[in-house]
Amino acid sequence: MIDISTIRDQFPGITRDVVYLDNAATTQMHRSAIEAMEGYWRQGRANVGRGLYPLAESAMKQYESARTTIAEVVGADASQCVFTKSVTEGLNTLAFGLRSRIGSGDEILISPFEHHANILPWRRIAKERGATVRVMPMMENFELDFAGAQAMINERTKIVAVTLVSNVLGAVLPIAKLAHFAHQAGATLIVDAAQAVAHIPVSMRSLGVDAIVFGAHKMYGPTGIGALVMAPELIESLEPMILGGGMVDLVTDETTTWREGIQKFEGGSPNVEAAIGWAAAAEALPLLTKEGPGEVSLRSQLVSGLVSIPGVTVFNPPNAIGIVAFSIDGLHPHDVADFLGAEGICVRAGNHCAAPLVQRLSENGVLRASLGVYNDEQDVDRLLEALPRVTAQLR
Amino acid sequence: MSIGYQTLLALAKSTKHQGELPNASAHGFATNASCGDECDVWVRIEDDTILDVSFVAKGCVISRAAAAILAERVRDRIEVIGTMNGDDMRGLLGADISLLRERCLTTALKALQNAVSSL
Repeated sequence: MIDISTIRDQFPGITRDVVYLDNAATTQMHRSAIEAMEGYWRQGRANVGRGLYPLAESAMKQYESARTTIAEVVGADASQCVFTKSVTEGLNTLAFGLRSRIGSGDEILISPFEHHANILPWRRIAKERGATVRVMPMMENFELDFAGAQAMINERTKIVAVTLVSNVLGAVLPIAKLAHFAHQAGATLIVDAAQAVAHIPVSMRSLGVDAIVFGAHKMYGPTGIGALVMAPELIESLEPMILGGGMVDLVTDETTTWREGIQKFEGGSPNVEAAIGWAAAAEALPLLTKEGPGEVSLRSQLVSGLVSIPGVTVFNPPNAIGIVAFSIDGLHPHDVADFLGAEGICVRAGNHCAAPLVQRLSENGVLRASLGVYNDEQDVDRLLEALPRVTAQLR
Repeated sequence: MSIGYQTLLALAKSTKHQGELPNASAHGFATNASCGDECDVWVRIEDDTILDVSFVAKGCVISRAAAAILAERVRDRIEVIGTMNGDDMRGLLGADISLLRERCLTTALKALQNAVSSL
């Protein structure tokens, strides 16, 4: 039997006073991330790619070392890894850069599980270019209708932009299979791995994707930093979205040239401390995942407990990881979440920035409990014990 | 909260002022996209003063209770409506509603403000 306290003790934000089940929104920070960031601040910080003194060199080395670590999370090379401020920025950068490849009548294909961050940039680009955003079908069991999705991929499809794991349902999408058909049609395949990287192994090469985005704060690192990892062809050909210091090679009164490689995508002073903290968290994560109580069994406990509560509907796709969406007959999810919060139980309620999906599940949004490496059976039990009590209070 | 949840729940369940107002001077609608709250408000106005308010609200307890108290209590001159905010709604409800529920708290107010500004 694993002593969960050895894991929980590594997260200063985790105590028994609070049941933190909102890990799909953000995770608590691992102590190694906090210590790494504090260490960077205490030793004296410097901007990167600018100063020529030892402090700047030290910062540069730590920042680039972090890039190597984060690229390895998805089995990629540091030369493919752009630091962004968020997953959203990564997806917007891709949409901006790929817009020149999209023409009138073209199609951008997304899944029915997308976060707004992987819907809205494509809608804007489609509108500008006279293209169409099409949504793949979903089956009644909340799984992707793969045959339907495959049938939608054709010679007009220029982009296939899909999440690896649904932020609402936890459903894992068959990315490798989608990539095969997308590439056959000549389309670029983009994957939002924000909800995946802290939970399942992710290999850009095995999945066969052209670009993948993910962020630090959903994998026990700090907020304010994400990664956009791209195939070399995209790094070479895409125009950068953010222009300014750090990304230019030559600027004269008349001309501007970008730096080569990933550097052209990192305009402005980067979030050095967040990169350092993120790398520390990423290095700690494999051991935590290995030694933890196991997301599969906790999810199973959560789902079976929820379905046994009268009035609870669980939206439970067959191939899902530690995110569970549910609703309670006659009760608004915000009221339930508010009352659970008063009992120290943190879940999320609403549309989860995935309104098109959630509107298909429930009229007023859904409740969501999402697991992290520090959660255990006791956390799940406390939610399951509180729900009937809260429900009775609200009726 | 300074008043209990049961008081808010009773307000939210109240049928008073519900439905379309006959002879309304204006109608307004607002939604809280984050959780799907929706509110239609009808208002009767004479000499720039609100005489009556009715509503149809769909959503959480706080959004429906806020609509009910607004319909019951607001009889101000219309220029006051535009200046009202979440804190005014807290005052009307007598409840210390969390900032996290600000949009739930103000959906009905926005519908009323939309109605008044449509005139």
